[in-house]
Amino acid sequence: MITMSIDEKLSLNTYKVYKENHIIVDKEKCITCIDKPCIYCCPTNTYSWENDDLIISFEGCVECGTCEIVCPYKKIRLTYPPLGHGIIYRYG
Amino acid sequence: MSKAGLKIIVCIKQVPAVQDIKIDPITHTLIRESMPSMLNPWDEIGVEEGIRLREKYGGEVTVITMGPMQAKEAILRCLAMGADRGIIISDKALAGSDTIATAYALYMQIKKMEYDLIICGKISTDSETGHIGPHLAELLNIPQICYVKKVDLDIEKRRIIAHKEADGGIEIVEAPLPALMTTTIGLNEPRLPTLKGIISSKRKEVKVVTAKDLGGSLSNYGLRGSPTFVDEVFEPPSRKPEMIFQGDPKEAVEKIVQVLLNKKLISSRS
Amino acid sequence: MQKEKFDAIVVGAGPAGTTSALIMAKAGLSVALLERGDYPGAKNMYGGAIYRWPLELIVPDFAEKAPIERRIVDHRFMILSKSSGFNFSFKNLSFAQPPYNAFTTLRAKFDLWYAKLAEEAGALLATSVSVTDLIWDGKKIVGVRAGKGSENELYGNIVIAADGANSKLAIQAGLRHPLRPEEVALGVKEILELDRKIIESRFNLGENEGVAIQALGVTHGMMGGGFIYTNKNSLSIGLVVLLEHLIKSKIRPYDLLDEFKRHPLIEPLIEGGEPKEYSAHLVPESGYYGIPKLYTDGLMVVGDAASLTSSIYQEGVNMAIESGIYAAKAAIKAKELGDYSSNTLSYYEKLLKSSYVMKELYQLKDLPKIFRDNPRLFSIYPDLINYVMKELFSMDGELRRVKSKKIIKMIRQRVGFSKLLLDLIKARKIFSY
Repeated sequence: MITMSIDEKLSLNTYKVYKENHIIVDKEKCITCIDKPCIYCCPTNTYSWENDDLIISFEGCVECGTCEIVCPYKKIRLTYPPLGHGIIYRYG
Repeated sequence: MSKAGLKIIVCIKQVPAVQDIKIDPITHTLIRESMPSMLNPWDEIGVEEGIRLREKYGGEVTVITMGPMQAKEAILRCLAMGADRGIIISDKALAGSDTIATAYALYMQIKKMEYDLIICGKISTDSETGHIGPHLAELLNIPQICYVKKVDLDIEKRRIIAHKEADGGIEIVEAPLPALMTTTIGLNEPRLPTLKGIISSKRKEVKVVTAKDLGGSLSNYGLRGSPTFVDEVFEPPSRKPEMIFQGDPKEAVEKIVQVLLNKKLISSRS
Repeated sequence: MQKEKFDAIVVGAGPAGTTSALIMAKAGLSVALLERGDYPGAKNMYGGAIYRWPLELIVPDFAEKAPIERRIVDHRFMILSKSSGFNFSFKNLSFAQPPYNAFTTLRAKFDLWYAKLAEEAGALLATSVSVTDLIWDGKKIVGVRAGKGSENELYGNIVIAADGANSKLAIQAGLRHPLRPEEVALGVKEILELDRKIIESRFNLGENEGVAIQALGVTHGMMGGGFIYTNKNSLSIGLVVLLEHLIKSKIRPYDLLDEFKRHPLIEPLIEGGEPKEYSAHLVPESGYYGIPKLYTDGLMVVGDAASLTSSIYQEGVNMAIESGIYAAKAAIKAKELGDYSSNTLSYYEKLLKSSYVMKELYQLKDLPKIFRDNPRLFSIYPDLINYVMKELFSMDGELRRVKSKKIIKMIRQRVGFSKLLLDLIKARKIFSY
């Protein structure tokens, strides 16, 4: 299998998922944000836009920080899942 | 009860942290290589309850596990939560133990110790047998109360009063100490270790106990002491979805409800 | 109870943090090494290789002891267009002999091994600790916080921020601004498991020998490139693109990676590889000008957190280690003097300034801007080189003289000679320092 969907890629990974979302987004600007780079720049497809709302599927996040930097309004804050939760790379 | 206060022992187990557990088709054992692990959630509840009782009545909490040295991480997690010391029973001679051999090894260690209360998790998430607690209580010849949802102690009378899950309700049970109880979900919400807790866990004592230290005949330990054998292990075939409902979530839900109604799997008693 | 205080708190058990913790612990300082992952390396990812220097200064026999995958003997470059490639390689068999030169290793294994050395040296390694804030006493940094309440506070005379490219601590300490899209790239990577014999025959390698491949022309003109590294029985394949360009392109990074994997010259190299892991990480790309202020009262910044990377030769881990050495030396000096103010910690900057890291980054200081502002480099030139080669090598009865005219016409169309000349001058500048 040479190429895979992003969901298949993420399913390879090991996560200890924490119960709470570690990505804090102030969504006030999202509706007027034309490009929404968080959606297409995120390497884990964490963000999607449904019914005029930014949906955050934080379970597959690898905590890279891209979203924080590409958000034109700087409204995304990536905190880290506590106590070793989140992505656990076995290769890296 | 000794003057130093309550002596609580919590038995814990390290379990795989991932859902998609892989099984070796030849040896029928879990493929554990590079699998992240965690403290069994029911045992975590047990550690929390032990710490709460200590905070209330004074004393100390000792956590015990049996497993490969890697299981020390699970002990450290308990110490970070606030347990006082850890014991890890680890020896190649103990590999392949079933629940009988495991309970026996725990018994051989615990019978040498002082204790007022032993806490075990109801089950572990990897094997889900629930044997260890009851078996250990029988070996130690002490009362056991399983599936405890709420617990308190009467220090004066040296008694445990527990609310336990029973078919169709809750039973309130009393027993003299020392006793053994197993936890269930709802007993408490385990605390997260703090930074100070994690730092101090690295300095607390973790004693390593070998099969020789346990004493007794080696034939009672490990594979030789385990009458259980695994005849066959198989991964259940993943079931194909019968129907897929796509499109607008609201409409899809309505369709699902209609299908379930038609199959008389639900009724519309609105 | 008296408040416990460490000589130094190191935040992040990657190569930079672990190096400084290791050296300080060896010198007798009390050190807490805090790591937010389940184990050191659990959150870390990179392309694929480390150089022997300066790790050998700290662990002289690391080549025998570290969890090394393969020794790199072959550096390959692929300048790719849609269905062709102008490829060259530098293979040096002395690289296969001690003391070797560079190694592939996997971070989940390497960082864990390395942090254990710091622990053996006496540092207190605490994992699953996610530091959220610095603790201040006036203008001085005196500790870190990993949650609410005093139970989540830890005090130390010095905090070393080794918390990676997206360093929150360096920002909190007022040493840098949050990274901007033009200063940082995104790296995405997959691990493909493949039999070691197949790897060795496919890449023409001896046992334990490895190859590092850099590919240009696979990023739709975005600053960046693809890479493949050989591990013992897996391949690391990935690519790196500047965020500024990724935002404009609207291409999803994983789609770009799949496109790279499907390239007709790449696909045969990875065929049969079983995907095992997908990872992503930020890479500082700002070079010398992106280096923040390196210290303040009670705090120093090291490694990626200080943007100490050089993309042209894929340097990161070595620079992280070197910066960790100097930060440790400054901390040791501060302990001797009993002075943890920026006055003493400026020694770190002084050491770094006269080091390989800073000198090298200074030499290459204009590179990031040249790369960033030159989309020709990442798509037009790779296409042109491939076009030229195709014209020169294809035999269709046309005289080479006629072909040359076609080539000149093509260059004029796609770049223009004045721009080409300018780019050549810039290129000369890059390699003539």
